[in-house]
Formats: sequence, structure tokens, C-alpha cells
Amino acid sequence: MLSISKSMDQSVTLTDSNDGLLWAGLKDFWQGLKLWKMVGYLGWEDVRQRYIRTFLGPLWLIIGTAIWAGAMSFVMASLFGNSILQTLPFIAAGTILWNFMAHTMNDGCILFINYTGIIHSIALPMSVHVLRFLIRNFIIFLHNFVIFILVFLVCHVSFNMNTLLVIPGLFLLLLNALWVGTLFGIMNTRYRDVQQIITTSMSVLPFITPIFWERSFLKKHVWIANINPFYHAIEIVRAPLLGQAAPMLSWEVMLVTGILGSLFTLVLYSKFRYRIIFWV
Amino acid sequence: MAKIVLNNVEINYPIYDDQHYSLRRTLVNLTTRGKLYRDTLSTSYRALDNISFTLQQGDRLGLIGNNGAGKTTLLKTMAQLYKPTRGSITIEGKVSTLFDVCMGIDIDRSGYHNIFYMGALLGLTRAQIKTLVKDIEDFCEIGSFLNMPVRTYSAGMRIRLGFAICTCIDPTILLLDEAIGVGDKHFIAKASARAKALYDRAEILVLASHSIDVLKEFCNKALWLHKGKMVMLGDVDDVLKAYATRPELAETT
Repeated sequence: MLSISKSMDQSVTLTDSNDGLLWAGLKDFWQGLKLWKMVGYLGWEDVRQRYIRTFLGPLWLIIGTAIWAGAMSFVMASLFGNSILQTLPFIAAGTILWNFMAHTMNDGCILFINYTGIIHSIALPMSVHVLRFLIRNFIIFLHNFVIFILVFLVCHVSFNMNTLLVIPGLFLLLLNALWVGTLFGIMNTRYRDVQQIITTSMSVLPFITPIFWERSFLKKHVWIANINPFYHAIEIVRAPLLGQAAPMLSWEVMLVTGILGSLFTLVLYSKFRYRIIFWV
Repeated sequence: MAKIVLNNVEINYPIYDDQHYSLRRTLVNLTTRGKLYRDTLSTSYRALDNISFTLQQGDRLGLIGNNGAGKTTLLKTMAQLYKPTRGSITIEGKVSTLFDVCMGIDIDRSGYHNIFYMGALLGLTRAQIKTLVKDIEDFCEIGSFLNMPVRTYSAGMRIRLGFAICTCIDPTILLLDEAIGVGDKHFIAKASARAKALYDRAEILVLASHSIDVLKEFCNKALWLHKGKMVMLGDVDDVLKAYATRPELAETT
């Protein structure tokens, strides 16, 4: 019996039709989230992979950040005549957060290219790669966070109601990291010079963003910080960590960029999700 | 019940050369309307054209055709890696692919570790993989090497490991690009037994191959593709007979 037949009518899985502006992207991310066990394992494995052949393991990462934050605090405290106990928590928190953002932007660029082999062999939701990358970076961020806990204990940072705002702050930071990583991933897969552009523009950012110095040092030029979204991204987590309230402007900016950025990226992602395989 | 339905499927590949990967070049071209660089036109290639057929439980379809006929593209479309640029495809049942047995293998990690890593990529849970470890150990016969990083393996050992892992799955629909078989004679015999068992477990099998013998052994149906179009679809013997007397062989084209 020959059961192959030329058939015409059927229910549809993949078609040429457009799934609407956002729907395809949302569906893909939902399917990715449903694979959370696999995604979590892969993200965790990526972190372990980094340290598998090193003697100190994740300590390397922590030591590197600690040296950087310590040295910068010493210099900055001397420059501005502040006490090191005041400067250290500020710079430690800023450095850890900046590292997270820098990793997100850099690794985001190669997040699809990295998994070319998998993309060409297994039908996984493309968002699996995005979520895996975000989890990996977040775990590294949590590793670094150990430094802040030490600093917190040594420098007697005040712990109060403001501290609880760390949770919404981190949520907004991750939401923004998610769309930035996805957007850079799509763009750099299509146009390979995007990563160079980003690396070049990022080299100046830690100096013009209040990471090593406070916004108030800008005096009447405080707009330099206010127009800088990276300042707001750091501030909504750093201020609560230091027991302070972040400026309302920072919350507003991060909420607006989080929503608009996510929408924009979702539209792009819905449109190009099935193009990525031709680009990698 | 597994089922695959393709309806007038067309796949267009965008083709990019080096310049099309440059944002700078694209922007300059947009702003100068192509005056500064003479740009090659971005082109696309129709890899599949108007493909329609239905596969049901028990179907073993062999894909045959020259290089560039669209066999791999058709497999990747059925794997849901590509979205049709025209037409539609409906799939009922879990699809598993066996395109590259060493896919995702991490050469810095031990063989045991790779069993878990590749197993996870294949969609297996940790508990499921644990029950399969013994079977994989027995099959690949590389003994204590499983504790060593894969970078120390010979090419043959890597393929044994990858093959052992990839063939653990219980697919509803199985898609294969060329039947696999590398290694010494003993391994080939073992591998084909294992592969055959895997093929038998699948409700639907689709296999692209240049080997007439392989297609005759595993398939009951065949689809002959030429330049992305369906030439003939039907019983495997009929299609292979027609394919053997195709006009290109007589150098008439």
C-alpha cells in the first residue's frame, strides 16, 4: 500500500504567512521558557566550562574584579579626598554591575554565532540560546556579587527599606539585558561589524558613566549622567545596595527602555527569527 | 499518530557574500545610493519549489537526487529549521534529526560529561540520560577513555561516542542525512545493527542518501528531487529504477 499522496488540505504548523508583529517572537520565547530545565543546565554548564581547566576556578573572576575595585577605590578616594570606606562599596557595586552590562553587550553579539552547529542541526526555539546566554551571565554576576557581600560587611553599609528595591532593580536590569542581548545578537549575526562598533564605543563608557565617581561630582553638568542610560541601569541596583533611594528618573528611564526596547526587539525577532539560520 | 504534510512548499535561500555582512558597506550604499561601491545584487536561490506530499505512520521515505537537488534543504524544512517562503508544512509527532553525530560535542570535557551535555541538547532529562550511560559505555567500547577529555580521542573514537549518544533517542519522526558508518569493520557491523534498531523505532523515517543499496534496505518509498523540484514520488523500487535511467546519465542534458 502506498500511503504517500499529494495532499492539499491540512492544519498548519509553519507557513509563509506572517504571524503578526509580535506573536511569533512571543511564542518562541514562551517555548524557550518551557524548556527552563534544559536552558538552566546549559547556562550553568557554560560557567563550569570556563573554569574547568583553571586552578582557582571561579575565584579567578572574583579576584580580578576585587583587585580592580580595590585599586580604583584607593585612587578615587585619594583624588577626591573621601574616605575609602565610603568609596569602596560604591565602586565595588558599580564595577560588578558594569561588568555584567559589558558582558551582556559583548557576548550578546556572538550569542547565535556561537551555536551555529546546534542551530543547523536541532529544531530548538531560538530563544533557548538567548536565555542560556542570559543565565550564564547572571551566574557570573552572582559570583562577583560575593565581593560586594564582603565589602558590605567590612564597610558597614546601612541596610534598610531601600535595600529591598534591589529586587525590582535587578528585574529591570535583566529585562533590559534580555532585549539588548537579543538585539545585538540579531544585528551582529547579520552584520558582522556590529561587534567591533560596540567594543569601540564601549571603551569610553566606564569613564563617562558615574561608576568610579559620583554623579554629584558633575556639579552643573549633571545632564551628562542623566542622558546616559548606563548610569540609570547601574543606579537602580547600586543605590538600593548602598541603602539609598535611586532617583525617580532612573526608574522611569529603565522602565521605559525596558518596555520600548523589548517591543522593538520582539518585532525584529518575530520578523527575522527564521532568517538567523541563513546568517550564522 | 505521526504525520507530515507538505503543501506547495517553497524555500528561498538568501545568499550573502562578504560585503553583505558589513554594516558599514550597507549604510554607505544606502546613503550614496550605490555610487561609492559597485554592489553585487543580493540574490536568493530557490532550493525547493512546489513540494507537496504526505507521510504517515510506517512510511520510510528515501530522498534521492544529484548534489544540490534539495535533499538536505527538504530534511531541514521537515526538521522545522526552515520556514517555507511559500506554502505550508504540518508535522504531528516529535521530530529527531541525525545530521551530524558529533554536533555540540565539547572537546575540553570528558566523554562522560559529553553524554550528559549532548543528551540535554537532544531533549533528554538527566534521569533519562543516567539510565542510558551503561548502554553507551557498552556500545562505544572506548573504556577508560570516557573519563578523558574528548580532545584526546581519535576521530574514530569521537564518532563512536557521538553515534552512541545520538542513537539513544526514541524518535517518532526520524530525519537522516546520509546513513552513518565510520570506523573499523567490527564497529560498522555494530553500528548498522544499532542504526537499524533506531530506524525501526521511528514511526516515520526520512533518509537522504546517494547509495541505492542503503535506500533499498531501509526505505519503502522514494522521492526523486532535481533542482528543488519533485521529479518522481512512489514505491522505492519504481523510483530507483527510473532514477537509474535518468537522462543526465546518458549525457543528454
